[in-house]
This record gives sequence, structure tokens and C-alpha cells, in this order.
Amino acid sequence: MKTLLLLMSLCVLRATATADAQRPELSLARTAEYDYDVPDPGTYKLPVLKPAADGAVLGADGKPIRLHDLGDGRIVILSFIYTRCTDPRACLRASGVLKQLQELTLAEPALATNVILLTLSFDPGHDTPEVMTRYGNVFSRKNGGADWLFLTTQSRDQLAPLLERYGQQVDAAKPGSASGPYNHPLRVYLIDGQKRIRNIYSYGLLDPRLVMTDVRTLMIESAAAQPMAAARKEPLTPR
Amino acid sequence: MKRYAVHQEFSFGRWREFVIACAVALIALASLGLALADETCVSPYMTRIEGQEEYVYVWTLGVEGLGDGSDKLVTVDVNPKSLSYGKVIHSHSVGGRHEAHHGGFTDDRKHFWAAGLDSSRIFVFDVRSHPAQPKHVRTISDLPAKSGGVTGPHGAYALPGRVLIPCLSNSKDKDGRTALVEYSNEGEYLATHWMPTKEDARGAAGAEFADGYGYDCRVLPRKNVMLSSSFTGAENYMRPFGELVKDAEALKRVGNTMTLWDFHTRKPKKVFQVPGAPLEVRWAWGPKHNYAFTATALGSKLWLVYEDSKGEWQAKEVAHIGGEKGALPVDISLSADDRTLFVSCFADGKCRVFDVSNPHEPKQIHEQTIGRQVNMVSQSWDGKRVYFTSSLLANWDKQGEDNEQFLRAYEWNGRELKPAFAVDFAKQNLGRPHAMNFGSSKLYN
Repeated sequence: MKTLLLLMSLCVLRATATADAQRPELSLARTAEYDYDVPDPGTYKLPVLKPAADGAVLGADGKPIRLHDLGDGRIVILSFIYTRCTDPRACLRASGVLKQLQELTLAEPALATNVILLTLSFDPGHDTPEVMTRYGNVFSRKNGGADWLFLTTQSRDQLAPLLERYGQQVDAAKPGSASGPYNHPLRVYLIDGQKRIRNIYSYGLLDPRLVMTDVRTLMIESAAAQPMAAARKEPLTPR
Repeated sequence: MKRYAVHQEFSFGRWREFVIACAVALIALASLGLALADETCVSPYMTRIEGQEEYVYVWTLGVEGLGDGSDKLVTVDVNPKSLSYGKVIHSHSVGGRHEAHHGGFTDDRKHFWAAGLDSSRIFVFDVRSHPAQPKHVRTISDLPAKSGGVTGPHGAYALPGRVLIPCLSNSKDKDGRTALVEYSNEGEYLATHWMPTKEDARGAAGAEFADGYGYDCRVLPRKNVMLSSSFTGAENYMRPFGELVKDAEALKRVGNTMTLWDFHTRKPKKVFQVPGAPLEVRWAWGPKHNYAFTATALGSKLWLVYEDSKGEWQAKEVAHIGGEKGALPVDISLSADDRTLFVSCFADGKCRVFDVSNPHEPKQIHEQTIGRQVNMVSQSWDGKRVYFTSSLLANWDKQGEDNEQFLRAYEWNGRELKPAFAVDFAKQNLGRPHAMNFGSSKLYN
């Protein structure tokens, strides 16, 4: 039994070392906004901030589904947006970064199968499933990389508890506001396989290199806690 | 060019390419430094007030025999267009005296966390529901127990979804050995990060200087660094000042360091020797301004912590503050354009203003008496309005006639401070005014 555990541990360490050597996110250059070298995954802890709230949402086909059912044990990167937003520091930015993340997962099957990207609108009156599908077609790859689902809700009443429990503030903007009808802070959530929020990225923190390093940190944590989980099951959610 | 939106009639192939190109361009533009910020010393992660602040929330120490004697959050109307401009419009007592000190908002600016240095309690006020009437909604009392014995919460610094609380002391021996403690916005304990010591430097350079003391802590996101400063423990800050200054041994137990941290990993990177109790930390705002100021209260010096041309972080003394005896500089406020630094000096009650356009060679450009004693200084984002309060610590404030307790507001015209209004906190039976934070109803709709 000890030998088995040792072998499994070595496998985890080897997988981690391989991932470290590849780490496609390190090919992204430092920018004026993110002017630092990212830390090595697994060298720090991500505290559990709070449980990730569940709730009913609408998928691309317009059918209701529970948010928690979408993760299926994967690491979830959840972004709240609305498609009418024109603020370059907010929704467009969030979707642009998620696009980068999806591209990064292309090179690494383990990442692609362990991560799911979710974009959820907080403007259900405008952002119908059809609108979200078209929005998704603009950003998401057709093939390859992590799954990326574009979601909305049936109504404001259905949406409100989700916003409240995630702490996503949305206020009405002044009429005629150039950035769109809502004021809102940029918020992207990192949720582990146990449906717990482990990090929140806002403006100044939404560095794709950093998000990916956090994802790897969670994968290392998960593998260390459950060596058998290293053999990842196939994703259940269709692309 | 059409506004960015989803239009059914648009060709989605072309639209996809266009939007992706826009997104990439916008990310690039944002990276050029379009970062916006709030009033000049708050967390960069926080929702901001861009125009005229409407309220100043004053976290006030209760005084025995004065009014209800309790610590309280006092709201002053500072909107010049208001009929109650310059008046106290609300006050909410928390019951008891906790050595009210500093506080801060959560990143969504829904709540204001007001810390008590003595009781180690943190009082959470809802400022969103009625910005003119903050309401005490929760008390966090578990900091010492949950954090592993950390006490003396100094303030509250907004991070996304959480609050960073730099502390001053510990429950074991009440000296300056302390930590940074994190809570979620919901008030749940998350983590403790002890200040580095010689014995527990955790790989930090300059470990030989590490004293484990703490005070302020602030983040420069684009460099992934945070910078902490150091003061002293409860054994000193709760002691009468007149008694303390005669105790040479006690005065040795004062912070002489600043620590640069890797923000993301919360690991100390480098400890700087900055003698004489470096207090408030103020990062510059400019997109290429990789530096911060602090003032040493006992050293009476202005210090610069900066990234040099080789990418190494350094600390150096850049100016003396006050005369030969020093002026006990206790708070600083850096303008949004990084050109002007206000320094409030408790000893002589003066504000000294420095031109810090060249941060390596600050030049004093103005000096003005604010009162017999002065502690905190806060300015609006446009730099036109500057507010001062008088109280340092309950047992360190001056005695007799010198013990003025006020909020005084000024207009800064680039040359001098012109009085706008004043509130006498003693006459109004409120207490000792300390930290000031701005509020506005326009933040919420």
C-alpha cells in the first residue's frame, strides 16, 4: 500500500513538474499593467473565501439548469457580464481574458478537461439565451480548449439572489452613460471542484497568467488530497 | 463606429473578428495605465468617488464624561450645496471605548469597517442603504481567537471580496509582534500573515533587520507588491504618552522597518531598515511611478521606497520634516497627480506641504498651523479639499488647552490652505475625532 501511495505521489509530482515546464501562460509577456513575474503554482495557499452559490440559470438552448450542475467537479472560472457594456475595463475585458484562458488550455489536455469557463449575464431583459449564444460565438473557440458556456437567467428575480450571494454589485448608470446602462465592478470568480470560491479577480488582478497559476495551484492541491483524482474523467458538458 | 452591442442583423463572422480585435486593443489600452482611482489614499480595488464627496465619516474615540462616552461613527455633511454643509448630521455610537483608530470600506463600498485598537473589535457599518446615516450592522469580535493571537486591528484595506487588516500587537505579551489578517467581506476569518522576524523571515532579504512589527499595509497591483510599515505594541500605544517618553526601554520597542511583500503569495520579499516608526504608506498613482512614501513619526523623516533602474526595491530617506527637534509627522496624503504631499505633524499642529514631483528630492513649499495638535489629513481626488482631525490616541493626545478636538476643512489653491469650515468635537460632546473616510450617495443607484 505504501509503495502504491509513493508511486501515485511521484506521478502527481511528475505531472506537476511537466506542467511547470510547459506552462503556456508563461509565454504571455509582462505588460505595463501586470509588470511582474507570476509565482510558481503550489507555492502559496488560496483560502476558501465562501461557498459558491447555486441557482437556476438558462443555457444556450434556453433550458433551465442549476449552476452547480455545470461544474461537474471541474474548476470553474465564472464571469458576470452584460453584452451592452462598452467599458473597456469591465465586461469586454473579462471576456477577452477568458478567451485568453481558453486558448491557454488548448496546449494542455489536463487543463482543458479540468477547467470550465462560465459567462453569466446580469442583464436578463436584454441578454436572452440567443443573444448570449451569439456573444459566445464571438469569443469562444468552436473546437478545443476548455468548455465555455454563456448563460443568462429567466428574470431579474431569478438573478438577484445570485448577485447578492456572489457579491456582484450592479447599479443603474446615469441615463446616457457612455459605458452602458449599468455601473458594476469587474468581478471574475475562481471556484474549486468542491464549489468553493477561492479567489476573486477585479481590475488590476485579472492577469491571465495569474488566473492560470491559481488554477494549477488548485489542481496540485486537489491531486495531493486525492491522488486518484489525477486521472481526470471526461467532461460531461458538450461544447 | 457603432456602439458595442449585440445586433442580430450584423454579420457575425465580421463582427466576431471586429470585437476580438477591439477586445485585444482595449486590453492593450488599459494596460497603458488608464487605471482610475478614488480619493488619494484608498485601495485601488475600491469603487471610487470621482467628484465632490458628500459626507466625511469620522471614526471618533469616546471620552469619559463627554456625551455618551462611547466610540462613534460621526457623519459630517461636506457638500457645499447642502443646507447642512459643515454640520454633523448623524452619529452612531457602538457602546464603550475601544480606542477607535482607523477603518476602511469593503471593495464594493457597501460597508465601512471601523477598528478598535484596544478591544480588537471591528464594527461594520452599512453605508450603502443610507449613506447619510451609516448603520452599525455587525461586530467582528473573533480576531484574536481566529488569527492566532493577533490584536490591535489598525485599519481595513479593501481587496476584491475581502478585507486586509494590518494589526499592531498580540495577545500574548502585547508588544509589537503582529500580523496582517484577512477576512471575507462577509466577516469570516480567512488567513493570518505574520510580519517577518529574524527567526521567521520566510526567505525575505534583509532578514537581519526584521522586527515583526506592523502598522499600515497597501498594495501596488501592477507590480504585485504590497508594503507594510511598523509602529509599536499595545503595551506602548495604550500607555500615557508622558509616562512612555520617560521609559527608555519601552521606547526601544518601536518599529524600525518596512516590509515589501509578494502580494499574490502574501510572502515577505524584502525588509527595509527605516528607523523611527514608519507609519502611513502611500503608493504613487502614476502608471510608471513605482514608489511609495512614508514618514517616520519618531525620526521625523520622509522616506521613499522605490524600484531602482535594475528592478530592485530600495528605501532611502529623502527629507527631514520640521525643525531640529522634529515635528512628530503622523499622517501623509499624496495628491492624485503625485506632485504634492501633505504631512500633518502632531507635535506643533502644523501641516507641511512638499513638492514631490521629483520623489527623490522633495521640497517643502508651504507650512501652516492647523491647530494645537493635528493627526489625520485626507484630501479629495481633485486635490482641492483637504480635511484634518486632531486626535492621535486617547492616552497620547495633548492635555489642557492644547487638547483641541476638531475636524477642520480647507480648500487648497496650490499655495495655501484656506479654511472652509470646522467642527468642534469637544463642544458637541462627540469625542476625539480620528480617521476620516469619504461617502457619497451617488455611488449607489
